[in-house]
Amino acid sequence: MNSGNQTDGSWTPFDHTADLGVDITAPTLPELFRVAAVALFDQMIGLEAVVPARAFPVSVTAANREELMVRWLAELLYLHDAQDLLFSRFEMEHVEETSLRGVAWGEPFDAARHQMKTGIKAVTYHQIEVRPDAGGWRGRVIFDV
Amino acid sequence: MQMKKRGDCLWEIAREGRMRVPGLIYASEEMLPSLRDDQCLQQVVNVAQLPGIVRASIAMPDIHWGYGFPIGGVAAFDPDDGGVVSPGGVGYDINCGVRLLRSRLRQEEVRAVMPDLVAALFRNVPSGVGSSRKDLRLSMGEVKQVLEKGAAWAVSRGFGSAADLDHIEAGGRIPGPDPEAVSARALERGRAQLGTLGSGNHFAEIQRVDEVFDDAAARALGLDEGQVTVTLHSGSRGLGYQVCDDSLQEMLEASRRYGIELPDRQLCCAPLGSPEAVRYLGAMAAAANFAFANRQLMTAMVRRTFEEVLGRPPGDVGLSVVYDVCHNIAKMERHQVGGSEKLLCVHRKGATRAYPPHHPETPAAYRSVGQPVLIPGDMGRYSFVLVGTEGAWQDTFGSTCHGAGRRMSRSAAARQAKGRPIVRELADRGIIVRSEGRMTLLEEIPEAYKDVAEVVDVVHRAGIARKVARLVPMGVIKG
Repeated sequence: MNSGNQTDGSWTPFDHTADLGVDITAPTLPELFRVAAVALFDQMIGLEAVVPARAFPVSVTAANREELMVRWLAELLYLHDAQDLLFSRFEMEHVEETSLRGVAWGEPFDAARHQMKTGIKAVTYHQIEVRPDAGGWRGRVIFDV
Repeated sequence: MQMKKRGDCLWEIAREGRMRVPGLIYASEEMLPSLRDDQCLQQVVNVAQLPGIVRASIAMPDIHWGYGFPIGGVAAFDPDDGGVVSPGGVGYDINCGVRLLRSRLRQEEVRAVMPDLVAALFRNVPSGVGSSRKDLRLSMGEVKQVLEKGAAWAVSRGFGSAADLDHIEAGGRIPGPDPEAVSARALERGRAQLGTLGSGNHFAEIQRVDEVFDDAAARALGLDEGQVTVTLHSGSRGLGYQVCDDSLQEMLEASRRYGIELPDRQLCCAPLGSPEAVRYLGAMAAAANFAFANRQLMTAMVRRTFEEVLGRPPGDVGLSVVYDVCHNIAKMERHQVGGSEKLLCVHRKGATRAYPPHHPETPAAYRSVGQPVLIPGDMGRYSFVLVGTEGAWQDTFGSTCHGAGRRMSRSAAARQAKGRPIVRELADRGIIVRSEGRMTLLEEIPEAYKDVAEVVDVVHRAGIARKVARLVPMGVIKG
């Protein structure tokens, strides 16, 4: 189990034959979304390697909270792939069922300092879960590797 | 889940509940326990529930748990029966595929220079996560030309020759691309990635033909024992992933609008002929054409690398295209259904087209033996060349397996490989490996995969492809 680096939420990778999944728990919905982003970049590069030097605002909308989770992570992955950015800190400013506003902190990829661990290519809707559980929230996301 | 034996290597999941057709699984008896442990059989059942599916939801022996469709899944849909197209039935890496090149070289000629060849290949073919080319910056207009023309665009820019195009599935261009249906984001992601390998299980491999099983077919394909070949495995890179991601959003909306009940969100789809389906098929064809151009560019880089390292003049080493297959694709194809010919949308998600001898789409040189089928294995053992058969045409919409299929998850493989000198282990077996990613070599250890020989034996025995030759790796570059 991995701490989401602000101690509240946590995530655990689970085995998927060809790809990679994470289970996430958090006391609140915004924290669940934040920890999911932490899990994504920790799997890809390791958060300690990335300096949160600049803030990148992110806003997404979707039909429901499960699809909102995919859109949020896919947006971060797009910024990574298209603009060569890496992130290590996330702040959620506003999270509702169908819309989200947050800030991702990071820096451009630097081949001299950064070595990628796992190349995550996409965030899938397969078995996507975002639901209340035991007074908190639980989520599951499967990434395409 | 009940499975009934239907043949030597064929099992049926009977229709029940919301299934519209049965599931058909190609597998040996020995493979069944591991399939039952995986979630892939449930995915076969889920696909069987989609509207307009024809005959069966089919799984190849390399089937494993994917997302939406199982990897190793084949399904055809009838537009006249409410049939659908589903981006989840193609996958993120649209037209991920395999290309085989045959050289005029014998293994003895390259053995001594193999470290130099692998190092030069690693330098010349950009690989790894987000790999990009600094030497080929395309304008948005040029990217759209790539999407429109496919491999022919690369040839028009001096990367390869017109003869290459005759030996690519669909001639290196899926008809009906719609570059305007490809988002600015997808174009941006793809622009710098044309001519790059990518990461994960993608690779470029220098091989030798180790054994020939069918002399006549091998002769037709220009293969003989001891010959050096090169296999490329790559797809449409970030452009394809973005097209898929964009389409899934549209298709989730479309599924709600058309009242299609989904057993899994990743199976979201739209009826063939609907604006959403037309738009997706246009964008998918465009991304597929990008992938054909990508493999064509890398082919040119491979040829140049061999010529440089061996000090040979251009064209002297051969490395002509044997064939190039898509294994993540949906295509409109004509097939026999209930005694009449129908135009169907055939999804191959981790499956290869395997057209029989004398099919008009098979290149003239191979018409008497069938369409070449290229099945890569893992980096430590072997890959196979097969040809399509009449059996595949009759039973699987002209489709067969696509690879070894994973046996271990990536994390399980990485755990098992941790601390092991993988590069040296492979060097001891005569295989020189270079990799960009820190984790890739661990996740891709040979034992993480099923033995591709077992997979290939099943399709051979089931008659949905025929074995021609086995290729053994000599040098590998991974992303």
